[in-house]
Amino acid sequence: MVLTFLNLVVLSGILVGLTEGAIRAVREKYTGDVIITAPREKQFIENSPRVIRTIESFPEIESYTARYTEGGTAEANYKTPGRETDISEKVATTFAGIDPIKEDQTTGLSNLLIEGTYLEADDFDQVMVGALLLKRFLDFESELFLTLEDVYVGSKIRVNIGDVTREVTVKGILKSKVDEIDRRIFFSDKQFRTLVGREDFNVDEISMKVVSGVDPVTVKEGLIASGIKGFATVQTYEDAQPKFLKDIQQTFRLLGNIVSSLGLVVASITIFIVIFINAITRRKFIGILKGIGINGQAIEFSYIFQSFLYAVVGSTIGITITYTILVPFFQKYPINFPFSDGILVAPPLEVGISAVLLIITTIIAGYIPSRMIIRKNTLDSILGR
Amino acid sequence: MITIENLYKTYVTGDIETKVLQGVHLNIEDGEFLAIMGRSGAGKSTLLYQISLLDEPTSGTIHIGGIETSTLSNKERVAMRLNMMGYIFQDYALIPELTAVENVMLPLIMRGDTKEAAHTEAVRSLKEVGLADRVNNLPSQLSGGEQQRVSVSRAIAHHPKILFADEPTANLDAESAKTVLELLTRLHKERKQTTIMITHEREYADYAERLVQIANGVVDSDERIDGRK
Repeated sequence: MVLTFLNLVVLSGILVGLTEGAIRAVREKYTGDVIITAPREKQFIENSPRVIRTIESFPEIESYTARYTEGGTAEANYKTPGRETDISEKVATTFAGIDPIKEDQTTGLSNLLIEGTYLEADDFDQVMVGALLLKRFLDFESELFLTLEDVYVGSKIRVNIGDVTREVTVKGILKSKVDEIDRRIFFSDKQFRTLVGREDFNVDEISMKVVSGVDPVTVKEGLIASGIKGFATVQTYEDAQPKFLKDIQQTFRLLGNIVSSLGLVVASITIFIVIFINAITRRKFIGILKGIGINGQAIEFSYIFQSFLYAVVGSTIGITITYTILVPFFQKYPINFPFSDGILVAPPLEVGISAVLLIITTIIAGYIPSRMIIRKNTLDSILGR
Repeated sequence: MITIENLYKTYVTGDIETKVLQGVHLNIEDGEFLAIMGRSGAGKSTLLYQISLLDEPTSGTIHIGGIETSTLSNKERVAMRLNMMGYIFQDYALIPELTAVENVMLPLIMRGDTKEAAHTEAVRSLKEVGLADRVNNLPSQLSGGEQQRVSVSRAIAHHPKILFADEPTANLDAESAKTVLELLTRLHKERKQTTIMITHEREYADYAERLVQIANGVVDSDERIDGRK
């Protein structure tokens, strides 16, 4: 019964956790709790300094990071003879100019370094490259997913942003399973501003981390109320989730429910068989008990209680294992799925519902066979006819 | 008093009809110790099942204490079995997971006794059958004779008016059989409950006051036993 319960909770929990892991990663590593972006019709967040001053006036905001972004291309091995025209050596990407310290405080970007060292504010012509831009970190090939070959820490790459072309050195390589990081190239904002002509300090994204316990919605509403809506779009991490991720999560939740339903069917069949075998092998004793005047309903109740006990004990042990072992374990050692670090999602309400469903199903599954056996003629049961 | 009139019982299996009881007439006085004998298939056990309300006759009537049993609902039959009757089965029929005292407590608790009261009464009943030192033993830890004495204890613990014993010595050696029969005789003398016992052995029937022989589904002979053991 413990395994049945875990089957109900863990399988669907991991399915949901797969997307939850992705959503959590996007929140922690990219959007923060609240993100401000340029309105659709604008190129960047106008009046960014004013917006930033507003953000700094919110005590609920623990930290923030402002990013400049610009599209462009990056090339590698452009000095190697004979490879000048190789289109696979040129990738389209988004360049981001960041304040390395603020970015790290807000999204922990330095923790995502898998090679090299983290960017510093005064670094010039040095970049951190997302791993998905490099062929050696991509385990598939696609015409649509171009990558750079033979790029390591210390390699020179050429970046083209608008009319500007520069040769920069790879200082670090980042890997996060969040596309907005793994498909980007990061500069220090000091150089990037000059590179893209943003001396007005107008940025493209501002991610914020709110103080623990504060609802991001409250902060979002506060920012909107402060009058920055005219220059920027304010979203919580939930609003900013890509629609496909929401759809996948819904789909996995549905799949999880289907798996859980199958688990319930398996549980009910298991209990039916257990109780049926138990009752059929004790048919003679049931007959004797009825014979000496024990009420059939009392015997039925004992079997129902037995089923109930199986379910309650199984669920209790299952819940204990879930919250004391499995959830902390998967938090610490997430499952390494290709697009996310899968965790175990087990909201208490849903786990409680699963336990109640299991108990109800088990009681019904226990009642039916006991009723079947107990309804048999008393004398036939005693004589084994 | 138990009055049986023109009792028939026919078992039907598919197309085959087996007429077991074919018009039994019998009166059993309150407090009587009756032995029923007969060859295998004569109908003695079937007769016991009808009187003890474990089965329903095909036709005929049974009156117990003036109540016509065919008019009773299933619930009333269960209640009558629990309150008025005690059963001793030939294979003891003890619940293997329960200790001797717990087996005896079972019908007492079902009658509504508290656990404490049932325990006290069950221990007293086990003492009465000479098993004071075996109350906490499981059936598997008792000999056949001891198990049957637990079965007797369970049957009498609630002071039934009628005690049914279906070949209570069938699985016992001669020594244990004698112990159980002497116990039944003593209990009958002390309590004066009606006792109806099925047996194959003429020697064992001598422990009763009256012997009814069944043959071919009817009462073949009905005699008082002189020189009861």
